[in-house]
Amino acid sequence: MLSVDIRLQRRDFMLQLQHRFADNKITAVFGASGSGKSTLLRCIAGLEARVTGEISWQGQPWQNKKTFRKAEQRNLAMVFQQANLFSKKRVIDNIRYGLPKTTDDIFIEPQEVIDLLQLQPLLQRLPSQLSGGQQQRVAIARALLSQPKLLLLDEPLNGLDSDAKRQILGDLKRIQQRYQLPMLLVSHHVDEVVSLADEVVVIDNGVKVSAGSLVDEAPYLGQVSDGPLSIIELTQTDKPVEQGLRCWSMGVQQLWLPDGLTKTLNQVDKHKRLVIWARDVSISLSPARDSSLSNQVDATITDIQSAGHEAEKIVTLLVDGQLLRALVTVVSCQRLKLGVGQKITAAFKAAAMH
Amino acid sequence: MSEADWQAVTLTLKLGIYSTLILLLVAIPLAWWLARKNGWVTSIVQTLVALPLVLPPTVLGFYLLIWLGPSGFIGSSLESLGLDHLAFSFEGIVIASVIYSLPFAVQPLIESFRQLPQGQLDAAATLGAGWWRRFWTLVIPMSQGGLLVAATLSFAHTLGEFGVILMLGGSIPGETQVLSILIYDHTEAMDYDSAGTLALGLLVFSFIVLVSVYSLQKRYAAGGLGVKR
Repeated sequence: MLSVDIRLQRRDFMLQLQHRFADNKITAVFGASGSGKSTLLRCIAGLEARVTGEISWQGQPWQNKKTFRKAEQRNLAMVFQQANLFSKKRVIDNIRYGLPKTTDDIFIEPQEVIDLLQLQPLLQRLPSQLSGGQQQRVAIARALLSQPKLLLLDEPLNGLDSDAKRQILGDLKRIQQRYQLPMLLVSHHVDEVVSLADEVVVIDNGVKVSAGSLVDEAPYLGQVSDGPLSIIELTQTDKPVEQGLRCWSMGVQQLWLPDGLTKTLNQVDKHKRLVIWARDVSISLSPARDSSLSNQVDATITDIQSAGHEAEKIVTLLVDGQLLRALVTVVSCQRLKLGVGQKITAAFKAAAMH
Repeated sequence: MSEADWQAVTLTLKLGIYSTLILLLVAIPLAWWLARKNGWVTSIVQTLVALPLVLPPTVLGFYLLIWLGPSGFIGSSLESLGLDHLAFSFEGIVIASVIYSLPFAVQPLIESFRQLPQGQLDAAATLGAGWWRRFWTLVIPMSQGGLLVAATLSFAHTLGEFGVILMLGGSIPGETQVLSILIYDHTEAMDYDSAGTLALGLLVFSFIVLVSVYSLQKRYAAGGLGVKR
């Protein structure tokens, strides 16, 4: 287990954070730009000399008043926002750079990683001959082959196009499943966090705001990003794809999502998580037969709260054991006479899912 | 060319090679430290390193003559250990060359080290590479351009030294009489033919060295030697 209790003062910014990170899981460190996420990762990596406090891994001190283990002694690897590939070395030499000399220390095999990340055709190239997505895949392979006990990912998908992002998200999920490697992912993109993370630590202005499981942290994710949201889990059904739509179940209810969209997140198993923004969810008192919104689910109102704007309310709905949030105007709430315990129909466009 | 002329050529090349090798050994760690640290100590050290650029060579030569000579604290200390003082000796002019050419070695290396991508060095550290491994596998290959310029400028500058060597070394054939001194001696003796031959040789040699440096520098800047892009 990684345990952190640190403090780092810079001119106009202070990072002060205490947290115990879960074992063998992907923990997302989520927050707005400038909140101190990357600095936290650099502190954990041993790249910030001025940090004070304590960092320990599996009970072994990496840093305390007496000890400061250098980055190269921490047995971790880090993937940065920029791939930071060694510009003068070919891909093969890059990915073998951190490989231990003795085979006894190798538990992640080079060829396995090369195959997993589809790097075989790129091995003889120089970094300058690769696309951004390819460079980042090489950086991930290089990090893995150093046989780390902990993988730090500092916004590794920044600046990549959606295809490259999709591929790398799938790669990271596969890597975690295959090697049970604990990862810390820094990101300010909700879709990346939802796609990968099991746990979330939300930080703001250098301080931990909240921490917990992904679903529990959904309200905080919404605060930092584009408004309230829900995270729902779906299970793929056996029904064939119809007119480009694949059928997914949410408890006993069914949703039809574009087949391409359903590949955007992890393709690893038949379960997937989706982000639905509250602003994209509408409420009606009965199923709307004459609506273009085909994804409609039966729901019960569990809570109605004020939203950021005085004209709006956040209506929390229970849908087969999962919470769905809808952003509804106060006028509509009054017109529909919405109240806690009321059964309604919630609708949203498939495209509203991320 | 006379035997004395050839002796001066050999001595000059020997001085250039020795000085350049010593300069690189001294300048690499010094430039690394200056490139990475800030503070008043580094400012003072950087000023001391740059002083030969602005001081008349005779000033530097004068102080070296005093310090390295039999009455100076270095020269007298060496004599008390049973060794010779360093004035009017080859070893003395090597030391003078190293000090005199130090800014020409240190400055390109500082520039080169400052431009190193810190992200690559950080990545290497998180991959388990210690300082020495990072230095040999990343810093040196990425600083090839700076190293080449530092070595060549040091060598070329050493060939052109005159004032410091004249002050400290005089003109002892086979010991301190390098090409620049011999050209001066020939000119004083009104042997313009010999002086002209040596001067032209030095001019052409220096030109070729510098042209080579600048063309190699451009190739490094374009992405490295021997790498097809």
